[in-house]
Amino acid sequence: MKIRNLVLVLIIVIWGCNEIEQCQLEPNREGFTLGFFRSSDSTAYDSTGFTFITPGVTSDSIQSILPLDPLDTTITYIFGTDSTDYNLVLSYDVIYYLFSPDCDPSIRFFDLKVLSTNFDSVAVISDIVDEQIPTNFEIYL
Amino acid sequence: MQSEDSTSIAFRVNLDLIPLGRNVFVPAQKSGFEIQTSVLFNQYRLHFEYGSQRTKRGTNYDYNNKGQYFRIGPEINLLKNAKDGLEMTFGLRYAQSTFDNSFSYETNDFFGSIINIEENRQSTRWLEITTGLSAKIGKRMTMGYTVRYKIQRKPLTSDQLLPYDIPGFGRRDDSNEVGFNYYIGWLIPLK
Repeated sequence: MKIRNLVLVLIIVIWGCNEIEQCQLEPNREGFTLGFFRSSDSTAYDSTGFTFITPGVTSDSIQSILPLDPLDTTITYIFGTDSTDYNLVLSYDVIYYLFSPDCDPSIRFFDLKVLSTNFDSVAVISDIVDEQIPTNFEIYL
Repeated sequence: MQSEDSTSIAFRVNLDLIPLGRNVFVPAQKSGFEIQTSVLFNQYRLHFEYGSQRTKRGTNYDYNNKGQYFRIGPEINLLKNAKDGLEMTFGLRYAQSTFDNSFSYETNDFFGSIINIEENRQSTRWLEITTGLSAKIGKRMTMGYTVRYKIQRKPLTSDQLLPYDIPGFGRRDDSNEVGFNYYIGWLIPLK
């Protein structure tokens, strides 16, 4: 009886020490996010009406995550409208690591900066690309 | 009758059996060796330990970590007057590891990038508090284990690739680690 209890305790201890890897806990995101606001009164746009956004975005949804190239440290985004094309040139740093050997490798983008833009103004809300951060830049146009 | 442990000065070499076991059973994932040497002055010892470790990880990526480490520090046998060479030790170590990392991966994001990165000659250091038991299994042979509590690791920085493994320490994302050695040793009396 005692041996059976000891074995049971050992099984519980070993099971309790077994790590549960949850890849979804990894906070990194593969791209940054934007919020669009009117320059006149700072109210948010419900829809931007962009005809295209390049690279990497197939719709003009302002909820899109705009991807960053992990092999580069600068990227130029073009936001097209019927009348004019806006650009947003960003720089960033990249670091690679394993969150867990059982998950896909992690790519962390950080130190996001605006190098140039022809939007009216761009406010940097967070320079880290992370699931916990809803918006990296607020764009006024 | 005088026991071998009454030798006032001796030299001992230990070979860690755990890395040797990995070399046999999981050579593709982790391989290496560790040798521990010590000079014994009665119940006091000065340890120098050296090891090499290679780790490979990944199924849909390829991560390789390869490096060497050493530890140095004093140790005391708390069972000074024990018979049959039984020892219970307490010690401290300073440890340092130097290693190379490489990583290759094809991302499944918009860019579909093929990433190949190498970051070599990374290094870090830490302290260890050790305790262990050993016993004689022959005239000059011993067998025992050491448990190590690894603390105060210097944080690692990187320009591109943060390592997952640190040879001799464990995982980078753990600031403290516990290590275990199971060894066989040879005692060489000097005086």
